[in-house]
Amino acid sequence: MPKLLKCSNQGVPSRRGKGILARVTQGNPASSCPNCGAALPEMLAHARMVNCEFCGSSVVLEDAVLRKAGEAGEMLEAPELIGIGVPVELGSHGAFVASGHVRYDYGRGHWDEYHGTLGTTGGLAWVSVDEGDVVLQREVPPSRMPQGGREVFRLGAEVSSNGVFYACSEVSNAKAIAFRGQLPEPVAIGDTHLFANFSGPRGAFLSGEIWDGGIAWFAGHWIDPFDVRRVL
Amino acid sequence: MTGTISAINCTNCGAGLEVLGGGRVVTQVCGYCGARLDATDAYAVLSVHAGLKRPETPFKLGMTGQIDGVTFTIIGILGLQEAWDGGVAHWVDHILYSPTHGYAWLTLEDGHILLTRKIRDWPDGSFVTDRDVARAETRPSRFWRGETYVYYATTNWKVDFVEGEFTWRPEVGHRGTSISLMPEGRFSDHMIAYAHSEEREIETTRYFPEAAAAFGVELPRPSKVHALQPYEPAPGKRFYASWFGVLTVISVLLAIIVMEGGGREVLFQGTPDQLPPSLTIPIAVVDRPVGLQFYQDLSQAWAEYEMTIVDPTGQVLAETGRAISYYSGGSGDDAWSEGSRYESLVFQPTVSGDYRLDVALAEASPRAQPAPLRLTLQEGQGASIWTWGAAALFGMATLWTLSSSWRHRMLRWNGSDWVEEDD
Repeated sequence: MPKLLKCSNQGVPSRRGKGILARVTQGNPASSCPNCGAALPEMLAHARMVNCEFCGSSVVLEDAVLRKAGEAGEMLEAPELIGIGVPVELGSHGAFVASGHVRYDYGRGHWDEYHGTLGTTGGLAWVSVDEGDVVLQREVPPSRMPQGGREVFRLGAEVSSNGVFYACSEVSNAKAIAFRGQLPEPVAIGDTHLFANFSGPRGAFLSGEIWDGGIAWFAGHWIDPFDVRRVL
Repeated sequence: MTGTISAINCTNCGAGLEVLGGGRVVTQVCGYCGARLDATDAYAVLSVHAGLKRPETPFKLGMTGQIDGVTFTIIGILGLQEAWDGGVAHWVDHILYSPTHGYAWLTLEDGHILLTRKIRDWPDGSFVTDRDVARAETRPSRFWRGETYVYYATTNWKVDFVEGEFTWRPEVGHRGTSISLMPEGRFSDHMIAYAHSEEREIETTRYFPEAAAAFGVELPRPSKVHALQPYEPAPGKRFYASWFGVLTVISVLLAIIVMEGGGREVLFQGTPDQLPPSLTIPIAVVDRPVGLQFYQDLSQAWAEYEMTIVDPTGQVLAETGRAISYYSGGSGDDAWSEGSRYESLVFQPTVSGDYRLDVALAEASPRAQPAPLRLTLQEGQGASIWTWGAAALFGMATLWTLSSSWRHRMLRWNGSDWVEEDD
């Protein structure tokens, strides 16, 4: 089972340390790394975090100011279904282009989360890839979030969201160990978070993340890894 | 996703073991000493299976092969058996791993290769259990990805060999149940299975003979048709069907020609009471049989005739009798009939000349006596039995060839353990 963990733009980032600052305007290619001064890629409109390819810093955007938040972590080379900037077809869901990539560790291995745009409308989505288990999810708005908070983060717990019922199949902790590209919210490399996965009918899948002061939910579907194909 | 470890030493016997699987592997079984090692706890020994008998399989740990363009590695081998109907069936599961596409299974069963993968989009309806099957009055069915799957069989398996890496903790003697459902369509080559052991999973299995080439192995020749084996017409099926069909038609035509060969002559026509005591049969050809045909236009009646045939030398060739009866009833779909208005007698003449036929009505129902009777002679009649025999053989060969698809389908469903209550 994949262990999903994404930072929510409704929550509070888990670590917001103070660091070296630099001003930036989103969409302006003139941004530079506050740590080494190297040019950063153009920040996407939704991006709040980017990695510096030159010094390996993770750079967070806060109030139009870039700040070094730490290191982006070591992303060891491994076979991947999805790569940043490489369009892939996700079965019948359309083409997905990843702009950010987070890797999480669970002791004996790791799994990958990709953030990017899906389909022709460019809607934002997360894709989780864990040893052939691929899940496409979007963030659940507050009005459709399951009720119960931390109470439902237990195996067998049942929740509903948007009229669909789910049963909790996994509860665990995960640690972000590396990221690349651009993410919609800061991810604290090295921090551990609690998450829970819930299975629904016909491949429906719901994930919850919880931290001090916040909770986020993501809903979507399993995708057959053989349906993930590079767009030629 | 796999970590960085690529090899370990067995903590029981010290043998070097490759680590081929990913992060979800929790058990590694040493192929040398049979030790079950806990991959999540520094490969501590869980138990030891000594003296295991290795199942026959051409697949080995570490072999790689392409499946639908993705490279998979064989990381574990599981020997399984099921005892049923007084016998024991054996098969071998090979667990496959791809860093990007996860885990799958290659099953070797009687020379057939199957590929199994876990599905996440479960069919609607409850999880099918053996209890559900036992209670069902008709084959349980489920709808999945646009197709209806109906119950095929229940497999109660037991592990008898284990080696390599696994995402669960298999051990010898471990048992489970798998309930398989197959589409009713003629051309389906896959099924779904409700597998129940320590966990409940639903899997899809397809026939996958391409595995032999993909992994570079040679498979034993199957002895039976597998439930998932697609039908493949034998080379030249259309030619042979056409060929046998043509031969059948030719044989039938020849038989008719042979039957109708020689001249026909009406010896008598009238009612039975008009039959003369004797009829003369002039015969010139003696090397072919002579046929006598009786036709009486009977309806709900019967008649028996006695006859004697004497050759020109005065020798009695035959003293025999023939019965004709015809009854019918009903109407429409319920209409029926019994008996025939025709009878025949065939004899071999000995010399040419005038033969004498004494024929008389021996016994008859009242309605038979006024019914018109016709007696026909056919001299030089051919022996059509051989051509009819040939026509029957060629006809059967035609049907056998044309029915190969149907017979294949019957053989596929022969493995089903479902028994209709009417059976």
